[in-house]
Amino acid sequence: MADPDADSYIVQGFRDKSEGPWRWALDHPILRFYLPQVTSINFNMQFTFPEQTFRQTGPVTLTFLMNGHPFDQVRYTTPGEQHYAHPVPVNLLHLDALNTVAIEPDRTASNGSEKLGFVLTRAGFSE
Amino acid sequence: MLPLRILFGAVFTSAACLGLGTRALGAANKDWAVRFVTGAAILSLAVFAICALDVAYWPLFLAVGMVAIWLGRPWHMPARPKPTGIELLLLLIFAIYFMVYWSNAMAPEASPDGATYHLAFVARYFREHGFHPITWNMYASLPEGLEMLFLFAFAFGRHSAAAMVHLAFLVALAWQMFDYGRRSGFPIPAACGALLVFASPLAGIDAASAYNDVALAAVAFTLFNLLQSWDLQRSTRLLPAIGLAAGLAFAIKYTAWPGLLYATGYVFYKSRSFKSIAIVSSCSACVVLPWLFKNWLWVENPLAPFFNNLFPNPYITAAFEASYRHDMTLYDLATRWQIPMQVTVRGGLGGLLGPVFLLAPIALLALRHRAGRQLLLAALVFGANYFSNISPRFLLPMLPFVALAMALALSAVPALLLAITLLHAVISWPTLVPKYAAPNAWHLSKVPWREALRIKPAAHYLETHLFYWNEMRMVEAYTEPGASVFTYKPIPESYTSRRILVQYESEPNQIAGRLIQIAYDPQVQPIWRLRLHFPRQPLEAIRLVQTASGDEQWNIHELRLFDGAAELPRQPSWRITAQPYPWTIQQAFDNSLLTFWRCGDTLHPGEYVEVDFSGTEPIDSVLMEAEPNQPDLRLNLMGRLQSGEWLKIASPPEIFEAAPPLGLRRAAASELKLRGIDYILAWEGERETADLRRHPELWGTRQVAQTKDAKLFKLEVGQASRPVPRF
Repeated sequence: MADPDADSYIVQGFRDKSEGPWRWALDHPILRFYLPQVTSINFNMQFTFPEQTFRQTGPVTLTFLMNGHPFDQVRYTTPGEQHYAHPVPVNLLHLDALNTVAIEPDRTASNGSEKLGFVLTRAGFSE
Repeated sequence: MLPLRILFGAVFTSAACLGLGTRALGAANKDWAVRFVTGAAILSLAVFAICALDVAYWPLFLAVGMVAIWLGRPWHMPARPKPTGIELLLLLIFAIYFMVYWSNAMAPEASPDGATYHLAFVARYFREHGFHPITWNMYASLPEGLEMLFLFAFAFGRHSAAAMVHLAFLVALAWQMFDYGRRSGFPIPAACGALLVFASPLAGIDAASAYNDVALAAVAFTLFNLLQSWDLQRSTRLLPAIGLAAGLAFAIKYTAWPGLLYATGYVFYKSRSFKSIAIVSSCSACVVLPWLFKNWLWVENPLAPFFNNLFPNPYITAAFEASYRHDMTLYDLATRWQIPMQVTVRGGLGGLLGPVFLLAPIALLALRHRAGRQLLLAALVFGANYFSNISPRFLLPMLPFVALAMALALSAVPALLLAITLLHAVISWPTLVPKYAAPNAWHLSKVPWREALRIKPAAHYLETHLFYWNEMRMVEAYTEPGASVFTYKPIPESYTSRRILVQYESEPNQIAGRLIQIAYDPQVQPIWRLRLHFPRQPLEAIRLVQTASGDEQWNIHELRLFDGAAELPRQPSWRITAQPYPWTIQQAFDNSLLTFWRCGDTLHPGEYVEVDFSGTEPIDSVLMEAEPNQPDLRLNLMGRLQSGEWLKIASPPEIFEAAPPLGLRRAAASELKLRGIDYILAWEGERETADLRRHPELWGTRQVAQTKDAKLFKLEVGQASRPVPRF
């Protein structure tokens, strides 16, 4: 999220701007990535459940969808920094094209005007 | 049959040298060894011409050799005085060592450099019937004066014939040392000095291999011998031979260049005759210039692979040269004070001269003799470049002079001299050397007479004596003729017709190796971004100027220019250049994050990349995408206004990191294939290819064979996997 071009990876569901190298993900965050020809690939994410919001939500389950198809679901029972890495089935990918990754939290906290999911620091694919 | 062919190749080549030398020197010098070396210079030059004309066929070599031998008529050896008892004893030791060397030279060629490159080029020239540009291997740019003689012998007896020609130079050297001493009035010390050199473990294995150091020593001593003879006789007929010998020394190894000054300086000092200088210089030039011209023509640097700062070229960079030179000056030593023990006793720098050469300082006592002063002057000349490469092989050219001076210094105590010589002969015996030398010291280990006569098959000998023989066989068996194989370690290329691209041997090879690393190693992937902003303005050109000094090389994977959020599309009319390495700058403008430009030298102020738009372009920022390993890099952005004036236009850059790009492995495999590489030889335990060995499917490569130590991968994206044969 420190990348000045980070906006170009966001489809929806994030706060517009952030002070530091992180950004609030809201209730339906979706990212997009261009993927070249690959034979196997992992989706990686570094994010945080702040204690304040976690007190409101309790344990959160994130559902990961690749181009609209779910490929993983993880339940987080503690607040704090989290690292996620998981292989994505190649048949869900659009190679040499743009792909969307949706990360759906089952619970969000509210600050009155927004539904807050988690704080995203970095996300992307690795081989 | 092969032993006969080997013997014929070696004897025929030596006889051709002798014939040509006899004709060149006539009655001015009747010593067979001087004639042999003088003739070697002429034959070397003739073979160069044959290769340049692309007519290197064995029938032509046969014809040339027969004419050369015919020119040497009448064939007779001058009568020699009957040897004394001590001389006979020494002669017996010479004979015993000669048999050891003969059997090793005639055995299948298993020396590291001989099998890897000296004879690799010889085999290629023979296969292709002449010279063709070899830009992928820096060793091909070294002068190959001796390799021309190897080629002549190779045409008949292949590898071993070439090694035996080298051995002939050792015999010629020892004989000349003895003969010089005898003429100068110290025959027994001279015989002892000659034996010190002849029995030296390094001289022995070097001469029995297709190397060139002993030949250079022989040529250096021939030059000395000719100069001494000329000083006595003042025969003009010796002057061309002096020039040829000095030229051949240079044509064997660059480090012998002081020999050119020695020859001309000596003749001028003694004669004050410009005509004599002209004869010597022009004959030297005849041997030297073809090699310089060949390099200039093919690799844009007459002195390749050195002096790349003076002669910039795409094949070897100044950065590589600096690091190579640095490595050669110290190898793995902690201090230069370790050199004397290493080069004489331990052999950790690639061979050992023999422990008695720890006594070399006593050679200084010979300064009280005229002959001693002449010998030590020659030792200085041919040892002047030693510290540019501290391998003891680079001491061999000066060794005969030092050995003779040592013997001369000890001549006042003949019993001591004889005792030292006999001790040297004993402890230099191949089976005794391991008792005091380092385990990895290069020396002969046995008398392989069965292998020499091919009673035992060559393959088994090579498998046990030659590094990476099995890998070479695998390459030969599982790649198609003409294929290019990339490897981080050299293999014995002289036994394969495939093109072996060794990572460090040229800049394009190094770039190929870097592409492999970039593909998988996050430490060197192009995640670094440096953006320079400035007020939008129309510019005719931009120049990114590097202003700092440092040990790293500036690299750029992509350089992008922007007008607001829109990137300026690259136009065919743009003129892109860079200094000091302009040849690959288009790789920074090819829209591939894998490929890159690097500047060819360590960081120095003034290095730059320039884009000339051939018109004007509105522009407000420049983005450099690069590897993060350049912390000392400092950049200024200059812009050329419509007025033609260059101005600094950007404030300090914004630096950030991007995500590692995906798909680099397949991109690297495709890129390497595009660059003409068909296979990668990946070695067990090798860091650079560890990822390829573990995940060949991610690279789009197919493993086609393997040995215990290496796997061979074919670069072909999308090929279905098949069972992998073990080799």
